[in-house]
Amino acid sequence: MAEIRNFKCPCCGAALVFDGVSQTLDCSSCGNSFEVETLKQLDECTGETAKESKFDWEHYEPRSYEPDGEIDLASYSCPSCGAEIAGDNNLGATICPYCGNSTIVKRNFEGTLRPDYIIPFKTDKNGAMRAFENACANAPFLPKEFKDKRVVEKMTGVYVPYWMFDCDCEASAVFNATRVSAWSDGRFDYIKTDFYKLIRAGNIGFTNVPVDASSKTDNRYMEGAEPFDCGAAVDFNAGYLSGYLADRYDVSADDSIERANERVKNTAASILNSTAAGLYATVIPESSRVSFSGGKIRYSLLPVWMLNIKYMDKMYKYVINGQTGKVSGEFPTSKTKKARFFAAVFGVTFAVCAACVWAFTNFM
Amino acid sequence: MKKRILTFLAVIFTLTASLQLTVLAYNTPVTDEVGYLTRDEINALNSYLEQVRSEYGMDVVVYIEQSAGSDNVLLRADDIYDYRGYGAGENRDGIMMYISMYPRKYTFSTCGEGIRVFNDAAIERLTEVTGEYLRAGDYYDAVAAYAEEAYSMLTAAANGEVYGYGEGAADDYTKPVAWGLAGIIPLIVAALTTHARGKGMNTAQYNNSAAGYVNGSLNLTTSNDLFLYSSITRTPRMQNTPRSGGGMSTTHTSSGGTTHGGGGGGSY
Repeated sequence: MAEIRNFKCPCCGAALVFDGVSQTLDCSSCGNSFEVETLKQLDECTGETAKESKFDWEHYEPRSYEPDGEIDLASYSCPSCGAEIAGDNNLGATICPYCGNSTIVKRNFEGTLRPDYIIPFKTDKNGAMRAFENACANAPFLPKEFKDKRVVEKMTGVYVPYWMFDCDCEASAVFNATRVSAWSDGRFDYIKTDFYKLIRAGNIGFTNVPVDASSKTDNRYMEGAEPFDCGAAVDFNAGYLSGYLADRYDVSADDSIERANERVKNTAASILNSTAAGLYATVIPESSRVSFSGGKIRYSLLPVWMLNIKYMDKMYKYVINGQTGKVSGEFPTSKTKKARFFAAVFGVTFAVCAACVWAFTNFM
Repeated sequence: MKKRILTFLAVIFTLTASLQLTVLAYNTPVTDEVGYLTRDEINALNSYLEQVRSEYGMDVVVYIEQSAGSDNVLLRADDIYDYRGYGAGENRDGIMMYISMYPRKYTFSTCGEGIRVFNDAAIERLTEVTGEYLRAGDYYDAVAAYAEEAYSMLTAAANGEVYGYGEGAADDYTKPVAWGLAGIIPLIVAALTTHARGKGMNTAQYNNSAAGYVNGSLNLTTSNDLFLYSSITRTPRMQNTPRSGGGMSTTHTSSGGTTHGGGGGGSY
């Protein structure tokens, strides 16, 4: 028995009826007509993207770290926030990079899990501080006295644990798009809106999508300091830890997968969307799907400078990308500067509006 | 023989044309195809409006018909004004009150000097004085009120006091609204700009994109743009024609290409 398919009007959702004369599917509700082939394609593609995305990551098996004698490691634990950090045994007095506590306890190194890769520091402490000063200069409402009255607590170079996700995915998406044209004759203005469904599918590869594997660092700060150039990653060698601290992961790869999936799916949809850029007046995503198998997960250490600054009895934390110097953090705001800016914009805009109103009321 | 036939046809054509011109030139001010008005009422109105025409050189006419053919009674009114040859002088100065039975709507069409004298404010006033009578079914009273009001507007204009003069666009309620907007818009702009600039104070933000980690470029396998349907919206072209020192008159162009003013009215 032949399959009976019912098509619904993409415009109003009413059932469509086949018109044998015009060979089209007609909607008695909104009056539109559609080619049968168009609706078949639409039905197939929307059905495909309506399916759940398939994220298939390979299981990550952690490897134990075995000291190879290149560096003498010690464990540092913070009684305040509970951070357990590995570092050079000769690091000397240090403070907790996460909470700023100075009573950090040094213990014998008890072993950790071995990262697959490490991105070595490229920006030294002075370079990181210069990057911070630049960020301050670009912060529009920063109090004038911030530079003089701030107290820089110790700045620490930390290798933060990250899960890195690689995948080659098949992505598909359906968008609702419109094109608008306008014209006039002697009597009327006309606006014509053409409605389209855009169907896009393709293959996109992602390499080293990072997800923070430490529960002690705020993901907003860590993602704010991205991107990292993972091309500079090298096989892990404990020698790179010399002079720095290194955190160990306490968020498992399985627990980080959801964030990686979210970022991959968002980006795939955005890239597919960009293929229609400039061709339509509006492009609104309707549905998207990502599917891949055998996605790889690796454990890496990425370099950041942790900077704690005390200003007006409040602690401000900053994360500075150890490769690029990009600063992530919240700056104190001067209410006076903000009010002045508001008043200036209001004044200028009011002057322009007042001039327009005056001209309107006096000359029209 | 052939020559005689041609001469005969020429005479017939000339007579027909002159008869048409005569009809055009002698259209009475009131035409009622529906029977809303009695013969006596039509005669009384005709004599009053012909007097108005001779006094001010401006046609003030009324046209009542069974069906406007569409909902847009203003365009229908313009066409009737043009094709029936209403209007005095070279610029076809005048105003016409148009009443349709189907749909039950009425409106006003102005032309030439009538656009200036019967500006938007005047049309609003005419709508006001006639609307109540029409809704009550007092058609004669409605037309009489229109004729009297139009006459007094013409009298005022002849004395240099065009109805709505000095009120125009910036009338009593427009000014406070304009100044109110002049205060509110800068507030909104300043708040949005300050908020946008303030975002630079917090660079610790989630990054939901992984665009920085895309390996190579997209290999597009399917790219299909399916056209579904179109919709067209049509709005009458309106032009705001400011008058020096007076009220504004909104104008538009009839199907015959003549500029008309007017509007107003509505359902009754």
